[in-house]
Amino acid sequence: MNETRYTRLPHRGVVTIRGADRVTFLQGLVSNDVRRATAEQAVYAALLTPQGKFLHDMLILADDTTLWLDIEAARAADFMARLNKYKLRSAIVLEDMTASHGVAASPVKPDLGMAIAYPDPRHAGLGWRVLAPCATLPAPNNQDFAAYDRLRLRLGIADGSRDLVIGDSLLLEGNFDRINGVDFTKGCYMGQELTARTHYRTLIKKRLIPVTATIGHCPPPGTLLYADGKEVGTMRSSQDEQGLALLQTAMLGGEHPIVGSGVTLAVHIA
Amino acid sequence: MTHILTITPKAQSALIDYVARHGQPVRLAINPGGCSGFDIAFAPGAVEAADLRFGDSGALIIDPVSLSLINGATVDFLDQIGKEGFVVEQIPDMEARCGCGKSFSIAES
Repeated sequence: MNETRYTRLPHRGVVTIRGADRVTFLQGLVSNDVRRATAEQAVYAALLTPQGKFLHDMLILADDTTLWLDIEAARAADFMARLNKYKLRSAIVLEDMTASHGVAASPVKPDLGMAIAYPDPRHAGLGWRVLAPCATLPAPNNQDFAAYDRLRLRLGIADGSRDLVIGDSLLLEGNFDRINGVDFTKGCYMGQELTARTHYRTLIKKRLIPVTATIGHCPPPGTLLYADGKEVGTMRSSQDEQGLALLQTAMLGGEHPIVGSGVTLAVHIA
Repeated sequence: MTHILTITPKAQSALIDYVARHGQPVRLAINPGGCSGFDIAFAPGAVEAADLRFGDSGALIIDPVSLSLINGATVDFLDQIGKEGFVVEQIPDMEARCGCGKSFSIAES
């Protein structure tokens, strides 16, 4: 056993889909190509409203019998209810495994017997992601979680409903086109029309962008941000001075600093 | 619950042609998918025990789950250039429809 520290991600849970129609079923509902998922390679995707607004994000793995979905633990029931609404006659069985299975992250390839480990498909900088029985994973640790979260924020990667507004955010606002979360050629899925239109007509006006507080901590999520007295965006998730903000892209690079609740934020455009 | 599907005269004659051509009734099914979540499909299909039958001589068949989503709707047939085939119109619980018209969404209850 090596000395790798696994970071438990207690806010993520596990839902499985079994049954003969599992791939076809999910393929019609989410933003990325489910057929590319294997036990070693995950596919990152989102479930949207029919109008193309964010509902849930997920990392999808596939073995011979099962699709394993890494989803937001606290919203697992809502996720299951939404999928069940579209089940109709599909031969699928949905199961919330969050009581028995959990999710962790690791900077290097982990060595865990019972685990499924895979490189995080969103960004190489996020390292490896692990899905395993809870008993084989380390207990949640706030300090480890904060360190991982700061890494994520620096890379500009959204974390589900902490950064995207349920029923309101567009995928491209959440950078899903830059973190392998959308397949623009897979064909129809729920919410595809608006997602494709914003992509091909470059209609996106705001995006999640990494920010750092120049002094102290980032203001809390939802804080309105201003430049020269004009509203330019909204604060989203953060850890201390490192955060993500939804900012109007046209307002970036101006001479005026971006300020929210008295905190000045430095903007890091990739 | 009363099961109602209105079949327009145009759809009725298209159903008769269809059965003559394929030797099977027309199966109307609502499947998960499409841009709006519920995808409408028409295809030749053998009758199954739970199916409900509509139209003269029961040429249109639909399973109860699919029917529950469109109960009260109208089945029509379009023969315009680029828009030929069976369509489902006036779906009572429909909230929105995708651009191509093949799928629809239902208001959250």
